[in-house]
Order: sequence, then structure tokens, then C-alpha cells
Amino acid sequence: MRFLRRLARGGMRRPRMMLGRPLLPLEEVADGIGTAGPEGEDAGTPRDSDAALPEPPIPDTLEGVERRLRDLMGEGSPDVIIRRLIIWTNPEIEGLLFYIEGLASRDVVNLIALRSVMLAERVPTLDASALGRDNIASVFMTHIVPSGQISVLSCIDKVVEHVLTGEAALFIEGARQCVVFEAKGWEHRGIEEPHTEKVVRGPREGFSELLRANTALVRRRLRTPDLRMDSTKVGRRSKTDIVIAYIDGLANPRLVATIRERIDHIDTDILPDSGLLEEFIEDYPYSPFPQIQYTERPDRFCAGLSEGLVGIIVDGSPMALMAPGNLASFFQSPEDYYERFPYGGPLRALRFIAGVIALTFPALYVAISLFHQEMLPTKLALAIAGSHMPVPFPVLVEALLMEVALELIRESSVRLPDPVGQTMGFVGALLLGDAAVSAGLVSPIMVIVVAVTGLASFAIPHYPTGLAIRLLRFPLLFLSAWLGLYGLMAGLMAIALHLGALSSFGVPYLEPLMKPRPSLRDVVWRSPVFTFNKRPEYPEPLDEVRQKKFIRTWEPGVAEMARRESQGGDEDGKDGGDQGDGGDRGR
Amino acid sequence: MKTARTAETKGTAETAGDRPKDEIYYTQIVVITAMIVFATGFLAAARILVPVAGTAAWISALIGGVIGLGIVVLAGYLAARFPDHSLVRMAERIFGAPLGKLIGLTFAAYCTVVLGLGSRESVLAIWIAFLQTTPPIIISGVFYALIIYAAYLGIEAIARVSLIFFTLVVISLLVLTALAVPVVVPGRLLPVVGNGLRPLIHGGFLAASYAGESVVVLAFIRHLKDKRSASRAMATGVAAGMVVMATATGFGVMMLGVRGISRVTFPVLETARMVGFGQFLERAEILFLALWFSAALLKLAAVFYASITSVADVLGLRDYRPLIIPYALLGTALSLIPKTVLETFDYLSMFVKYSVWYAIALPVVLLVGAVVRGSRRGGENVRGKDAR
Repeated sequence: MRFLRRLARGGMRRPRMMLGRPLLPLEEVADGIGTAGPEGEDAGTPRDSDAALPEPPIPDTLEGVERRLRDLMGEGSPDVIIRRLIIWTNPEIEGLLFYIEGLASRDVVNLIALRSVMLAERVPTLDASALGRDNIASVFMTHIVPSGQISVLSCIDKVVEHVLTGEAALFIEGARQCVVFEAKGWEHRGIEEPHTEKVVRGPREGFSELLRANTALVRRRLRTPDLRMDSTKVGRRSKTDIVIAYIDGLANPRLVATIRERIDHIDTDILPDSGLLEEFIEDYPYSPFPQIQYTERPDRFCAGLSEGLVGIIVDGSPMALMAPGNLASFFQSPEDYYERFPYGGPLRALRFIAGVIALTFPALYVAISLFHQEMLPTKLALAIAGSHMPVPFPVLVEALLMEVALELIRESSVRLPDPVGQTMGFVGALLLGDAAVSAGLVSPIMVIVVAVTGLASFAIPHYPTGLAIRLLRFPLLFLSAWLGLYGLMAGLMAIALHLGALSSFGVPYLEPLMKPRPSLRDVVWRSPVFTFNKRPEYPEPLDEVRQKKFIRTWEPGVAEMARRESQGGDEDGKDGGDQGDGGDRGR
Repeated sequence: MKTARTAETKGTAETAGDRPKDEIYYTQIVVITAMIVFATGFLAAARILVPVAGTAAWISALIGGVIGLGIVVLAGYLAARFPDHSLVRMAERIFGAPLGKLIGLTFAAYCTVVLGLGSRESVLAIWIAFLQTTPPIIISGVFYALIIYAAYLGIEAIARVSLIFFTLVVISLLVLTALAVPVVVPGRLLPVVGNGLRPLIHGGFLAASYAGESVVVLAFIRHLKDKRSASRAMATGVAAGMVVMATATGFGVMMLGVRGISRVTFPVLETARMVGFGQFLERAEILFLALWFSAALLKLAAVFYASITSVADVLGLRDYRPLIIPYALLGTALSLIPKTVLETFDYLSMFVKYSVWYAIALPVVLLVGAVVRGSRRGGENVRGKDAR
């Protein structure tokens, strides 16, 4: 059936091509001699043009074009602008401008298109009659329409696709092709400070919803020509633009290919945010742990790319993805690097500790107070027992009550506008905690435990990781209420084993923790930047060397080490010279 | 194509449990070997060694370590000779299918016994220290649930997690040692040779059975990235494990005395109970035990993995996973055979007495077989040529 249709279609095209071969005078074409018939049919063909069919061409008359466009876009949309105009060539020809109001900038359309076409001085000198159907559009592109990004297209569906991304299309009577030029100019949020990854010290720029602005933010920071931004589209209806960014010669090509392959496999309707893309392409969608990093900060994004990660920017989402991710990467904040290392290192270690506290503290409290009271000093044990006296519930219920209350406060304050949300958080936590204690529903120590847990989970810089930990806290709570520390440990082991088996794009989730030296240098701890001579190994970058081994060579000691290293590298028999140099340094 | 890494690693798909991405690093083998050596044994090793060697039990542990080093050097040589083979495949390659499968079965049986006794011992320790009121079957059930999960995930996950928990366990042991220093009485280690030289050597052979458990690693050593370092990795692991054993035994004797040790079930647990953590944690032994439990669990998970992949190899299965549940049931049943604590220790001392000979015999027999066969058949395997 499809084959038949294609045959019919081909049969329809053939006479037009025959007809198009001689250069017809424009007037003749404008009259629509000999072409109106088939075009009318063409415009009337149903819209279910399959992928197997050849691309539908541009109708030959402007009436045909208009009918076709109305057919494609519907009649009722007021933002679809189809405007007929006269181009002052000699002789003058009719044209049709097609754009979407709101997507295309009014200025661009008015100034560039309309003015250049209708008012420009050079246009009347153009001898339109000398131009053929095939090249009139190209002449317009090269000579008349003043736009940087401009192209000619011969398929009407393509034209519509382009116009829906904010470009404007100029159809010319009788031309086989159509001039499509850049006119994007929709309203959007400007570049603001990132909301989710705030830093005290560091850049304040954040990604916005506009893909081009985001790619520009990246380009501005990474001026290497090796920066690649492969573009693709996802979404049958949304046709969302996606950019896969990486540094050529640095990112592992297999990683790039895998990510590309997975994105190409997505066949969905719309893609509102990068979060959905993450779920489509990650390795273990059922794991509570996130496997792809996301960031709102171009600086962090660029740092990731320069380590050999592959970035994915989705149009309409201020959250750029970076793959692969691993457990340690979710505990890092860009500020670790922007602050001097004596603070960066301990702060990062603190975050890991916070992760452990957020995960285990309530469970540990329940386990100890139910099963292992002997672990505590007598006074503390008595204090806990005393504070628990008026509480009518078992410790587990108490902990669950408070944990659920905390989660409620948190969830409700997240959705509120900023000032209200903060107040809500404080008031909720303070009032609720205080009231619960004075009502005798929970013990004060439980309030402290839950509060510390809440604080600790806020210290995790990556929100989904915090969510995973919050989620896993509850099973641990039940386990430790059932089997005490043994249950808690069993739960932790299960989590650890799960983490051990996870991988992100083939890179083990625990990878950087598996190698003692890098993990102390820049995973759990952060050493001084001048010691990061090599990039992290987990994304398997093609080029491992990040910087010169000795940078602070103005320091006498370092210069000496550098010299010794280079001599040792060149030839081994120069020990005597080294000794002499050492003597020099001593002086 | 699940992973980006797949293209790089080549796996021999003929052996069960072989996912192409499985690969273990040198450090991970060291850690797994060390854990297999000490993780279950060190809790009660003093109770088995001290009655034999007396105050010199810790020297016995070191002697055992030396014997163990001999075993793993042979085992490592074997691993280097057959870099892509699991133990059962090695045996089949050397002795042909029927005899090789038989050797594979004995290996699986050995692993199973290690598994059963080890799990019983660990469950017992948890039961005694943590949860006297909880029925042991529940503890055992949770234990095996975790082992099943670990085995299902594969040796790679076990290896990664081992590295993390090994670090924690080592830190805990160092802390414990540091805290114990004020409590120890070094004089209790005298006389140095204990009950005499013969008991000392005898104790050494008993201790060697712990070190000998490291032959289990042969079942998955082929996942090691750099095969030539197999010997060194296992030897380092055994050395580390036996140092832990010797320290635990030595400190046990120094803190409890020879007579004290014979009165307690798990000497290390008692020593941990004796130390205080400042004024803050009075009896931190539970925290320590919680950490050690993780080590024991990972060890037994590795042993479990070794035994089911061996059985799967013997049966010629491609995937070992269908065997997990039946085998876990078998392990649980086995761990319930000793009815009382005393009986458990009877079984343990019996195992310790005899298992060392299996651990020595296995690599020796395989190596001798490989050398003889290798020289007779010529270049059938790559390394066979070197042996001539």
C-alpha cells in the first residue's frame, strides 16, 4: 500500500520536474500556468505523510503555499503569521512571509525582512525575470535578505519545522525553494544566579532555559576549538533541541558514542526537562541513587568537560547533565575548589560525614536506645530513658513521627516562595518540635536527633543524592528497630553492595574511591590545585595530564625538584650534577 | 552493549558467572584475601590456638602465616599459568573432565564447609553479643539474605565494597589496639615459646588452616586485571590477614591471660569489651563487632560466590545465578548442624585441624599435574612451554 502511494507520488512529481527544466519567465509562473492543477492536489493531500514518502515540496503558487501552511498549522492560531507582500523587484513579484509571533523577534522580522525586501534601494534594480525558479531563492539569500543565519529549503515540512524554532520563512512566488532566516527572539529568563548550587565564593552565573545562551556560556569559558557541541533532537512533538557537549581529544569517544546512542534511541512525545532525559538514558533507573550529575552552573559544567565528562544541555532546561556520575561527585561542590584548599578539603570530608549522619543517625539512635543501652555512659543512658518516660510511643514510632514531620516541613517549604518558605521552615520546625515535646508526644532528644539529621542532609550539595539518602533512612529505621545495630549494619551492607554493583555509563559508581591515592587527592579530600597533575581516571579521558607537574617553580625547592625530575627523566647518570644543585639550594 | 567499557575488556564467556565487565584490581584481591583469612577466624582463633601453643599462640599465628604464604605462592603460580581459568576449569584442563570435575567438587565442598562454619561462627558472635533474645534463625536468615544479594550482584561488587569496609575494619582494629595499650599486661606473653616448640609448630599448622582458606580466591582470581601480580596480591593479603590474627591472639593473651581465654567464647570480643572509649562510649565492642560483621559477611559472600561458580562450572552452567537460592539453603542448613556453642567449637577445631592439608594439597596437586601434563603434551597451553 505504501509502495503504491509512493509510486503515485513519484508519478506526480515527474511531470513537474520535466516542466521545471526550462527556465520559465516569472510572470508565467506567477499565473500558475500548468502547475496549478497538480499543486492543488498536492496541497490537498492528507497530512499523514509518512517517513517513507519523499519530502513534500513547496507548492508552486503562493495560494498553494498558504493553503498548505494553514492546513499544517490549523486555522485558529493567532500567533501564526502568514503575510502576503510585494517584492519590488523588476518586475515585482509576490512574496509570503511566514513566522510565529512571539518566537520570532518583531524587530528582526520588521527591519530585516520586510524592510530589506520591500523598501531596500537595491531590490528594484534586480531583474527578476532573468532568474529561474530554481535559483531565485538563492539569489534572495545571497543578495537581499540581510541575515547571518540563512538558508534555502525546498521541503515545506522542513520549513515549518524551522519556523517553529523561531525562524522566519520568505516564500517567493514561483520559486522552488524558500528562504528561511534566523529571527529567534522570544521572551526568556535572563542569566541569573543559580538557585540550587549557591556558593559564597565563585561565579554567580547560572544556566537559563535558552539553549543558545547556555551554549554561549560554555563556549565563553572554554575557548578551545576542540569543544564539540553535537546537536540532536528528541521528542516527536516537542522536537526539543539537545546538545551533547564534550572536548574532542579529551572525552572518551566510546562514552560520547554511548550517550549519543542512548539519546538517539529515545522515542517520546515531549521532553520538558533534562530530568526526563536522565531517566531515559541512565543505567539503573530503579536505583534510588542518581547516576548522572546535573548542574546549573556553567563553571562546574566546564570543569566537568575539562575532566573528560560529557555534558548534555537540553533546550528549555537550566539543568545541564554531566555523565558519568559517581558517588563521590555528588558530594563535591564547586566551592571546594574556589576556596583555598585548607578549607576545601575539610569541608568536603565534612560533607561525606554529613551523608553518613543523614543516613544513619536516627536508625543508630533507635538501635542504641532499644537494644544497646549499655554502650552509652550511664548518665546519658539515664537522660535518654528519663526523657522518654512521658512519651507514650515506642522509640520507633516516635522517630517515625518526627521524621515524617520533618519531611513534611521540608516538602511544603520547598514549594513556597522564598521568604515564606524559609519562615515556614523555621516556624514549622521550631514550633512543631517544641509543641511536640511539651505535649509529651516525643522526647527532646529525639527532636535533637531528627534536627541534626535534617541539617546533615541539607549539607549534601546534590539534591537527588539527598533525596536518596532521605528515602533510604526509613528502611534503615525499621531494620534497626527490628534487629538493633545488626539490622542497621545489614541495611548498610545492602546499600553498600548495591552501590558496588551500580555503574554509570559503564563506569563503576564507587570507582574513584577504589584507588587510594586519587581518592585522597581529590575525592574525599581536596589537595592543593597545583597537585592535580592528572585528570580523574573514572571517565577514562584520552589525555590524562591536566597540568605541568611542577608549577610553582619560582619556589626554590620546587624548582629544584622539577630540575631533578627532568634530569632523571632524560638520563640517569647525572647524579653528581644533582648533588651540586642541591648544594646550591642549601646556600 | 550495556557499558562503554565492554569493548575494552574481553571475557571468556565459557565459564559460569563471567560477565565481561567483571574485573578486579590488585588492591581488591589483597583485601579479599586478607578478609578471607581473618574475617571469621580471628574472633575465636585465640580459643583454638591458645590451648595448643599457650602463650606463644601469636607466634603460631605467624608461623601459620608463613605456611599460608607458601600455599598462596603456589596458588598464585597456578593462577598465572592459567590466567583465564577458574579453578574448576584449571583442574579440567590439567586432569581431563571427569577427574577435574571431581577436584572441582572437592573444592566446592571445601568452600561450602568454610561457608557453613564461618556463617555459624559469625551468627553465633552476633547472637551472643547483640541479640540474645532473637532466635538465631532470624539472624542467620538476614545474614544469608545479604550473602544471596551479594552473590547475585557478582564478585565485582563484593570486591569494591570489601575495599571500603576493609579500610573501616583496619581503622577499627588500630583504634582498638591503641585503646587496649593501657589495659595489656605484656608479662602474660611469657614464656615466649609457650608450651614448647612442638606445640608451637602444631599451632602453626592449625593457624595455617585460616591462611589456607585463601585458596578460595583461586575461584575468581582470573578476574584480576594483571594476572602476573596474582601471587603477590594473594601473598600480601595472607600476610595482612595473619598479622591481624597474630595481633588479635597476642592482645587476647596479654589482656585475658591463657586461662582467661579458655573461659570465653570469643576472646577478641572480650578484649573489645575491656577497652573504654574515653568517657563517651563505655562498651564500644558492639560498634566494633558491627564493623567486623561486615567483614565476615563480605568474606562469606566471596566464599559463597566461589562455591556456586565452582558448582556451576562443574555442572557446565553458563550462569551461576539459578544456583544461588538452593545453595543458600544448603549453607543455612549446614550452619545449623552444630547444635550448641560447644559443638560449634568442636566442629571448628576439627576443621582447623584437617582443612589445612586440603589447602596445601590442592595447589600442589594441580601444579604438579600441570607440570607433568604440560611437559607431556607440549604446547597445549601457553605457559606449558615454559615449564619444560
